[in-house]
Amino acid sequence: MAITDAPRPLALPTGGNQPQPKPLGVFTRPRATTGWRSWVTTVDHKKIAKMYGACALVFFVVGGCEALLIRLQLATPNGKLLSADLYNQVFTMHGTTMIFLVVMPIGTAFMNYLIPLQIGARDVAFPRLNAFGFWSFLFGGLLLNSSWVLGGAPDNGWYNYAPNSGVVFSPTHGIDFWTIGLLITGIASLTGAVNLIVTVLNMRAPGMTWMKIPIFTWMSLVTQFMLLFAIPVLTAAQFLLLFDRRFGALFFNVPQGADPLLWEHLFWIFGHPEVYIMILPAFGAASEMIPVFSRKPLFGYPVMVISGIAIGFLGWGVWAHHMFTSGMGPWSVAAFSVGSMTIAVPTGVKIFNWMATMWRGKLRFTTSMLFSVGMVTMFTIGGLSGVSHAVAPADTQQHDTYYIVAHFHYVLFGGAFLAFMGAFYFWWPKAFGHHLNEKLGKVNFWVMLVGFNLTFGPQHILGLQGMPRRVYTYKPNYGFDLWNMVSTIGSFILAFSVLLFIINILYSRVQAHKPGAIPAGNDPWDSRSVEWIATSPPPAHNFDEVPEISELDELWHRKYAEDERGRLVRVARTEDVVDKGVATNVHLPAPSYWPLVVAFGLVIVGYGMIFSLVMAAVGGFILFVGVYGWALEPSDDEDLMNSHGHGHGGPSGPAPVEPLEASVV
Amino acid sequence: MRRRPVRRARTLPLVLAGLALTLSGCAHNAKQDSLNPQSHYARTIYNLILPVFAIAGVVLVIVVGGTLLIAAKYRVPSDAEFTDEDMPPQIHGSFKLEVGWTVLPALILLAVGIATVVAVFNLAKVPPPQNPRIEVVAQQWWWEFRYDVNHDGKYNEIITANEMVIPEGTDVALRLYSRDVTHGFWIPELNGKRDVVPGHPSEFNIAADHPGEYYGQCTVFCGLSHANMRMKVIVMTKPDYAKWLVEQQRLAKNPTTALAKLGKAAFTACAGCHRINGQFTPKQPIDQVSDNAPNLTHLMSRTIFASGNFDLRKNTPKCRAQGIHYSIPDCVDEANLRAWLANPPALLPMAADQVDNKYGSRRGMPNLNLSSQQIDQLVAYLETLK
Repeated sequence: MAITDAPRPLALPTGGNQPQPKPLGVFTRPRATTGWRSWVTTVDHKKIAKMYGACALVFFVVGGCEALLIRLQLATPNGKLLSADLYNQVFTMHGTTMIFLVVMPIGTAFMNYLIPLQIGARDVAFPRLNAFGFWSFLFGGLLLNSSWVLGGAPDNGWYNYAPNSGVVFSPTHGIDFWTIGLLITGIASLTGAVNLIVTVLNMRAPGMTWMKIPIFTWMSLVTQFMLLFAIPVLTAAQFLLLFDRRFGALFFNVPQGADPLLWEHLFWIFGHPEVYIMILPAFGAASEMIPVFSRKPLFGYPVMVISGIAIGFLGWGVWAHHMFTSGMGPWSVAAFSVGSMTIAVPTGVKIFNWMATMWRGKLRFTTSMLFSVGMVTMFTIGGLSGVSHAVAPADTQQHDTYYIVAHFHYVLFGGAFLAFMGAFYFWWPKAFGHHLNEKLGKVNFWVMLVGFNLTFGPQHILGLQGMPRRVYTYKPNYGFDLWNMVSTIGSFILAFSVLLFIINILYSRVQAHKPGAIPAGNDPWDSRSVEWIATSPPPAHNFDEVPEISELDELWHRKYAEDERGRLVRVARTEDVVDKGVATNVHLPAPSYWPLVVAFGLVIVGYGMIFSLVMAAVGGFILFVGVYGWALEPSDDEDLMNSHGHGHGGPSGPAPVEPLEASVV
Repeated sequence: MRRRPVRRARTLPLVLAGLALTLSGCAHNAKQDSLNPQSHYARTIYNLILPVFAIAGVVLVIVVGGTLLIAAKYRVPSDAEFTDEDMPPQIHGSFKLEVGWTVLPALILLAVGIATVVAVFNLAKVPPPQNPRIEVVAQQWWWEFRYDVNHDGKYNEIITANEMVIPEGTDVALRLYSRDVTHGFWIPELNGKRDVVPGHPSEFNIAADHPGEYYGQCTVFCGLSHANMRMKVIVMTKPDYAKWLVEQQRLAKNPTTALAKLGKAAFTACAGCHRINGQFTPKQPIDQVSDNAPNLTHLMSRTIFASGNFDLRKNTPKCRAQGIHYSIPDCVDEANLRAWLANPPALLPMAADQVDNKYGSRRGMPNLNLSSQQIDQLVAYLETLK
């Protein structure tokens, strides 16, 4: 039986029918499906997503340790743990790591894993590009962190304002590492954005019209469009900075007539959309979990979609609210102030719709649901403090104080991260075939909630009492002592909750491998969307058959229907409407090591830009070879293809082929 | 259902205790409290933010309280039996409700927005031209204040450091200027903050209702010693201020005691950077990235030194009561001054001992390796700079 011969309006021609000559030497595609080789050569979106997630969690531990150092230093006035110099590096790396190497890639992990599954596809549009994106992210992150042992980390804050980023004021290579590391992770984000946008636009299962796309995928699509337009702005700014620092350009050289506000504008034109890039996937995840555990559809799905798009658009028009104190004049301040307030409207709609989704539901407080509800409430606190600094005159009191630190931790940790924690507990059984322990999970939630509020709640007070951000020390007799100590205690409770999560991952894995352990099954939560049709964990090809979509919440409607009185009745057993893992005849792209080679070349170019142009040339050569290897390796080879069964091109007619490797990329 | 009242009874005292703790934590001794307005500028901001906090509080109670109520009411215990018949009604949305919670917040925000815009323009009003005009000059990692006393557009009649003196009840026009990187000027009790951007001077205002001393510090991260870039505004009565203006424009008097005379000779080591009007003028450019060091002509009329990190006036009630004319008798904190002169980079992180590289020169005061004898002489000399 041909599996994917359903009409696909935008499928590209594949040429899969013609047998191709067996290629030679380095162009032979790797074939490992297990062991470390399978991971470094994989183009499977699920494996790549797991690697994103795992690396992001490792970076999270690194960034978390940096946070603990910050809190230890500030626990008491005149802290002596870190020198000013080291503290400045630590807080810079904490912010940069948490944003670029933790929250963004955790979002990417979920998007990479879930988008193809939620739209009923077998993989992303450009699987090798996907692998390249991951390796670029990882190498970029490693390059950035290698600065610790190669002469000092960046020391100018994650926003890296000019001209303090110049060589005169920051003579170590730290800021070069920052620039180049983030240029490389930026390439990862950009390729990922192109890839996932094309995937959603072109590869949705038959019948999945725009308003039947699962909400998480919708929010991810908005996120990817924002990345597509935001990252180039940061890249441009970083190129200017790189040329200033390495080749004596004058973009930010004030004595030569430069205006430092150029950097501020460029950075925040990227930096504000970045905020929504981090939060929208989390909103999407919460919008999947809350309906499942309320046993009700998402309240006002169309409005949720539109408000997400609205946030995506409005997010571009408010960057200068980071610059209310820059002296840009009352007209600009007034315009950006009112503009910033408008974002509260679609965000508020989302919050009220989540509440309405729970209203009159039958709520199951699983760990995921706890985290989701925690996210709704904690994000609300962050959103409201956000409104208080959209009020520009008030922001002139709050800007660059701990009040802001409290605010963005409430939106990024209380919002994005809590939702991602819920998402880990929610989709873990899908990805790994077993649950995370629920009892431990609930303890995890409550400890995290307490630790989080104890850490960041007092920072509101500290900020309003006048404690600036980015200070390595403070003096006694300013009223800062008590709340800093409370915050430090809270941070260790928070760290303990993260430890509980890691323990839960390991413990649940051990439990799941014991004889007699019950596998999670395709649909452990009685869920709604398409990804739960696949087996857990899904095979490389995701679905036995590409599902035909007739409803939003496709799986739910396969299980339940509404009777004439609007009551829910079961129409099918779950087992009968989900995959059984009996696919045959699915053609998947073969693994490739070229993405790894290209990303490796890129990072060598990066080190070369810092230390020696000869090295950069060597990296450039590796990159060049990698790109050609990538282009010349066979896109579709009969004998080497990584297929399930071998009925390829059988009598049933057209080749059962995904349009994955059709294009050269 | 039976458990709920018990839970509430348990949490209520906790919440109250938390609230009490919060309020007590706010109350004491916050020198940079942004919620303690002492000028009409700060009050404009304060009067704007209080209703916003109130609205935010109401919304917070509605959302968090509502969510918790819904959670409590519709929660199905995990051990409860649940069959397909128990499924809730499948409500897909409500146009009216959704329009409602789009429009209502939009209206509230419109009101907040109008109040905000009015306040923005009120705060931007320029004081009348006859009012005091001061240039705030920031550099790593200290503040200089320059006065345009004769209103000729040049801020050169008085040059002081770390402490700005202004008259009470008068709107003061500030011009913010940076000599190196971006800094942030903030005296929370007197106004909001304003970035001090190099190459991009900006106009700002400040005022104070009553005489007193008001604290602030740099708010834009500006490198190594950002946390130590402090300042103070001393507010005087108008007659005192007029007197201060006259005193500050005098040249330094020559020392009379033998020790102080030796100190003046020893000060040659310092005069590469520090100016003393009528006595020492450093050759430009000096060995600092900002090409400047604090003017010490009237050092003893300041209550703090070294970027406002150390008391020059002993911090006792008796000495504080003497205002800026404290140096007689025994209120100069000589111990602080000696420690500083002995080894400045040991007290504050600076890039002062950094070997001159191709990129520029020092930032901050280097260790001059002074002997204790030289320090005695210098202290005696500095104490004559009133």
